[in-house]
Amino acid sequence: MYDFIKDPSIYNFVRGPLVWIAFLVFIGGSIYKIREMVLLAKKEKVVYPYMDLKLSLRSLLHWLIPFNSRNWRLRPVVTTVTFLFHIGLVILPVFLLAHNVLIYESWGISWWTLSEGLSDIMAMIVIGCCIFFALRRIFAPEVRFVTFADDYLILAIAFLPFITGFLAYHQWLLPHKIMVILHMIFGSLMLITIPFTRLGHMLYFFLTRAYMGSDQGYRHSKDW
Amino acid sequence: MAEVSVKEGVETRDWIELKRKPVADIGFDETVKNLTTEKIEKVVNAVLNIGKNAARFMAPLETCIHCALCSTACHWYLSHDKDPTYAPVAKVKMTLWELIKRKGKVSPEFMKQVARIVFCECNLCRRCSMYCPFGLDIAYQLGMVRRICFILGLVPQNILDQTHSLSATLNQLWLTQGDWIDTMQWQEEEVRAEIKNVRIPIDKEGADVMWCPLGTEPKVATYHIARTAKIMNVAGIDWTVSAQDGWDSANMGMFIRDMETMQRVVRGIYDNAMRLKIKRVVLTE
Amino acid sequence: MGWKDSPIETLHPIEFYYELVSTGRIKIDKNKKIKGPITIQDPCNLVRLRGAGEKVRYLVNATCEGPIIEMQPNREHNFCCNGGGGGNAIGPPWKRNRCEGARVKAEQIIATGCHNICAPCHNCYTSINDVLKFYNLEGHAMFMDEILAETMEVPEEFKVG
Ligand code: HEM
Ligand code: SF4
Ligand code: SF4
Repeated sequence: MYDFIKDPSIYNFVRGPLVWIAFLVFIGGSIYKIREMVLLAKKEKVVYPYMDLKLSLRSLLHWLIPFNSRNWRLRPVVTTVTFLFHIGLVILPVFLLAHNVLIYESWGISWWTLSEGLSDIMAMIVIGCCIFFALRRIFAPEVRFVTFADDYLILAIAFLPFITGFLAYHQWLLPHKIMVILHMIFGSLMLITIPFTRLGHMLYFFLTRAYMGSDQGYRHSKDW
Repeated sequence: MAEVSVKEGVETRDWIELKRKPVADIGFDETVKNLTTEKIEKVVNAVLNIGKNAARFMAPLETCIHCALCSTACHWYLSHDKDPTYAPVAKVKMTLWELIKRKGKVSPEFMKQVARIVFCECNLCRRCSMYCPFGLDIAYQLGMVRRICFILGLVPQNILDQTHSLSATLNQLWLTQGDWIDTMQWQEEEVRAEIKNVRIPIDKEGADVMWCPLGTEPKVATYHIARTAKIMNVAGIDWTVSAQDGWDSANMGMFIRDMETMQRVVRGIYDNAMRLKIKRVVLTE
Repeated sequence: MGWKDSPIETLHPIEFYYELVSTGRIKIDKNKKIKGPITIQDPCNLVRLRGAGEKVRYLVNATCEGPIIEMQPNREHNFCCNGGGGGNAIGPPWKRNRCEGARVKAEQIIATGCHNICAPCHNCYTSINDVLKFYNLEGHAMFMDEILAETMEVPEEFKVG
């Protein structure tokens, strides 16, 4: 097993084609999924006529800003954790120095990056938040009651790239190289699964909120 | 699934947390005897297949992250000391997800439990949609389950009867046209004791406002009619009520997702409004 | 109610009464105003599906003397009375079940300390009264047409005798 992973061809595969495939699947899958849903919505009589850009944005904004909707205010702890988690989840991979270096090596482009110390803290926050979510799933009765195995699975899918990346950076536990390979595999796994599991909430969030926002807004009501 | 004894107050063994006091309702208890797993399977799959083509139905299924943030929105959940089985998402889990997971192959007892959850433990008030970070329309999803139950006939007796009444007479309490007009005239006389020359114009063409009461008003709560007559007359509104069937604004069909009756009731009102060339309709419900 | 393609404008009575009172077609008799503090049960169909919460408040302010003591939460965020969506219509066997499910409503009402509860919806009216009885609370629900018919000014030409 060890020898297998140490094999340089694995590294090359993971570093090259796998990441490509992951990105293609992620982007293609996302476009496909959104398209499907929008087409479905178009077929329904009562969805489309109500859609309204202004009302949708209004609702989206209220829910994307922490503590700007009543439910966010009612649950300060969950809200804080959720926002920290998602900010880390989205910002960290994009602006990480190491990722930028890789992209620079491949395409010669790079952009603004986070300092290493900050990245480290963000990674820890994300990992901590994942643990919080897991504990919540186990100990909060209302959450436990609606938890299926795949909830842990998607939590793990989000968790693994971060923990492996974190460990690789500090060169703990496993040799650096192996950790990096694992990190890349899990990262690709996450990208690939986003459109096809409930991690797709990232995509549908904007659609469902827009629908509810427009619907409520049309009725002179609000949904935050 | 093990046999269930009513004494325990547990209606299904699928979820040990789900504890309810038994309530006798002919609409459930009698229908359930005639159901078979095959029948249920057929209906469930027919409805779900339609659902597959509906974005409003599919999006919530694929988006819900099972975070239970919606739970504190529901008065049922709060009223029962945060019993997790009353949380909105739990209701969806125990009904819709389970039906999908088992592809409709469930026992009649299970279906009865489902019917109880969607009819008797949720008001489709949409408060949970306001509290879900994704704005998922849980009321719509549970409404789909109501539709399944309705097609199977698993509906509380009282509401089923009112729906039958609506589909036969377009009002909710089996009133005939004669009863309805009589009541209106009787109320007119009653109110005249208080306010001079009150009129309840029936079937007046071209009136500004058509008033559609709730079916219970002429039957058991005539004082509503009297009050409305007072208000309308004092305000000097050009108003009318429809003499023909289709004056009842109750729509039980909507509650149990009997789309056919629901549409006919709505149509009945619009038809009457068109017939009388009404400008606006006031619906008490 | 309130679909975009509806051929004729439909109104909830509250919206209609609001129009009558705000345009002065109905005048409120100052001496007849309802006394004592009052609270408002916001019906789901009115606040969440019609956005008419402010109109109810306008009417209550116009017809009642006492301060409005709001339920917490209120308006769009108010709890359902537990009679909507067929909750009342499923019938007598479920009454106990229904009232138990409305405990938050009772708590809300107790917190306001009001005995007058304006419930401008048939379902709310019925179920609030049931809840009050079930939890042995003093007070009663009031329908909007009741309040309005009692407090409006009846002009001379309508008076009998
Ligand atoms: C930018 C778009 C995104 C939005 C708006 C969004 C929004 C949300 C919201 C509102 C929740 C529920 C809050 C909670 O559980 O406390 C949630 C949970 C979650 N999100 Fe996201 N998300 C996004 C992207 C992502 C991505 C890209 C991933 C990972 C690949 C992800 C992974 C998760 C996980 C694992 C949970 C579950 C938490 C739990 O187990 O309770 N999200 N998201
Ligand atoms: S729609 Fe049903 S589940 Fe949602 S808050 Fe209302 S009663 Fe509870
Ligand atoms: S709040 Fe929304 S996403 Fe979370 S469990 Fe409830 S319905 Fe699902």
